[in-house]
Amino acid sequence: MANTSMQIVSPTTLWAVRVRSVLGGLRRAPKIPSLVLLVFMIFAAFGQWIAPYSPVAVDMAASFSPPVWHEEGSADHLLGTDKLGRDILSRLIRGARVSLSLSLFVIGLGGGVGVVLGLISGYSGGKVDAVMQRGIEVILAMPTILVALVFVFAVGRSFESVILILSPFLAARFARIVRGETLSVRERDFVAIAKVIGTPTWMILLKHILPNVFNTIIVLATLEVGHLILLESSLSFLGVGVPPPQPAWGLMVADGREFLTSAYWITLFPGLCILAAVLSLNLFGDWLRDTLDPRRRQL
Amino acid sequence: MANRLLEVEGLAKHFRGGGNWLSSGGDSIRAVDGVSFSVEEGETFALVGESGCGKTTVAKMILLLERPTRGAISFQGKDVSSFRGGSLREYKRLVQAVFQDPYSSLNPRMQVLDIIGEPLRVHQGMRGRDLRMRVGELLENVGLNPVTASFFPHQFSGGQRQRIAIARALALRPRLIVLDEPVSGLDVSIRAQILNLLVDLQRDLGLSYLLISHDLAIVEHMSHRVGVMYVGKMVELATRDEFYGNTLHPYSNALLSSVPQPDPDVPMGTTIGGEVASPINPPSGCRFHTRCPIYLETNMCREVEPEWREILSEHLTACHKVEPAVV
Repeated sequence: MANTSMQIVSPTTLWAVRVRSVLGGLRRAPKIPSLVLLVFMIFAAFGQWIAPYSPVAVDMAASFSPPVWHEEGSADHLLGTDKLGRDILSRLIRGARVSLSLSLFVIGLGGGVGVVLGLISGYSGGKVDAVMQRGIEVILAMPTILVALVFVFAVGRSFESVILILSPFLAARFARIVRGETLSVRERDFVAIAKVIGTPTWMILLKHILPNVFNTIIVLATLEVGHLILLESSLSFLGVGVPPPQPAWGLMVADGREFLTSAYWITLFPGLCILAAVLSLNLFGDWLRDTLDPRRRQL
Repeated sequence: MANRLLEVEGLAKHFRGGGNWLSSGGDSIRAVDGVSFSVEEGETFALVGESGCGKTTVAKMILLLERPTRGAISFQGKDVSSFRGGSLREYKRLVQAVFQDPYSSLNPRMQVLDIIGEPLRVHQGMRGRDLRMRVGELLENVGLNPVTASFFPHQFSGGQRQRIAIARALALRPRLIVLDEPVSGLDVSIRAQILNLLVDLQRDLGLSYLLISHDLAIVEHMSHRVGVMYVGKMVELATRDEFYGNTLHPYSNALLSSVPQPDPDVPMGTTIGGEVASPINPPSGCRFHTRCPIYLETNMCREVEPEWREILSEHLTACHKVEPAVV
């Protein structure tokens, strides 16, 4: 019979289980969405060295050149140019940074705040919950675009002001959904047991509630990225989004709208980028959700 | 007699009916309405009754998950409601719980090490090698292999999960464990194993149990004393042998005779009809009179609430029809 302490699970075993499950999860990551997101992230990080032209370089002589596979297209501008002769490909590559970082910042800031508020609201219940929920309803009842218009006119048009104005709306959506999930998780027996043990409330929220509402948060976050890119384009269209001539995908779609029949490429390619990013993020989010759930892991 | 560990005196819990700020709400639900009993050092006190009779609410109040409307709980002679800070922590260390559903009582996102380790971390700040050693020891105590500490709950069967829940309850060397239907959620074939484990642990560690169950066979196997509840009230309290040998209250009799006997030649006892009375609007007088087989249309049973009396030594009941042997 071995010494008892020999049988005690070793820290390496504990970590091996965790590491193996992460590696196993990575192997099952969706290939194409991961690749798409990786490419967009590289564009966002190193766009200024990859893009063949400056995204704001105007060349009126080359305006409305079609993509290379058209008869009039030239290899100088692979995806054509817009009405000011700016290279679409370069603008897409540089626009990745604006569109993706805007979404990430808003989700990080708004989503983070929303999750914390939702956890507190759902877990405390009673008056705290009632007051917070009325506040959230006020925010959700406000028309996003109108509020953004007023805010941007007051504060000035910039990347930061777009983040600041979109974050509270996102926070409200997150808070509402996380609260609902929290209400159901807090009734589970392991939360009651944690209270019996005397686990501090912040630890109950962090270790028992949060990991069990994480699925919802991931799914919501990936869905909201698409929503945010579209919101950004609506704001740009109304002239209160990311200020031109900075390239952003939504802005580019809005720019090309007038020429949809004559120069479809101005709108099509940024539209495809938005589609690819949103779809990839959703598929990636599904995978992340499954990987983080111990029940779905295969060891 | 052994030392009194936990004493419950006139405990009541009334839930407010579903009202909001527009309507003051319906009648309150009197889930528990004046229950008194005690748990001695090293004994198992069983609380039995049909579902909805308030057993679990009593347990929740003892575990400080619900605040009593009336009545007092004292632990080792001290009033639990006066506990603050250090004394509250001490109470939460000495009183632990095992719940019915082992699928809901273990966090699916935690490894067993973290589940059993939670009380040790919270109360003793234990970590690293000490924690792993202690968790391994606890797993062995409940008959599981210590290497399973790295597993997640879904990798275990129901019985094994309940063993993990028991190991977690034992971690802080408590004095009292509240067992709320500890085997009702398990396959019949596993129940005996878990019950025997609980009995062994009680013997080895000198634990006290408050066993909440509707299963009279389990209660007979495990308990030293038995209390029967009906619609928020205690109707009979006796030592196990007294209870099973000399039942006084007609409700207890009906419960006992409804236990199926393994011998097909033994006829089924007299069972009672009807539904459990509603705690929203409990019957007047004796709450059991609507279903009582010995109720004879006397105004007494219908109008006067029966007194909680000691009929025999250590055998209390609340029934007009039972006369005390010693006055």
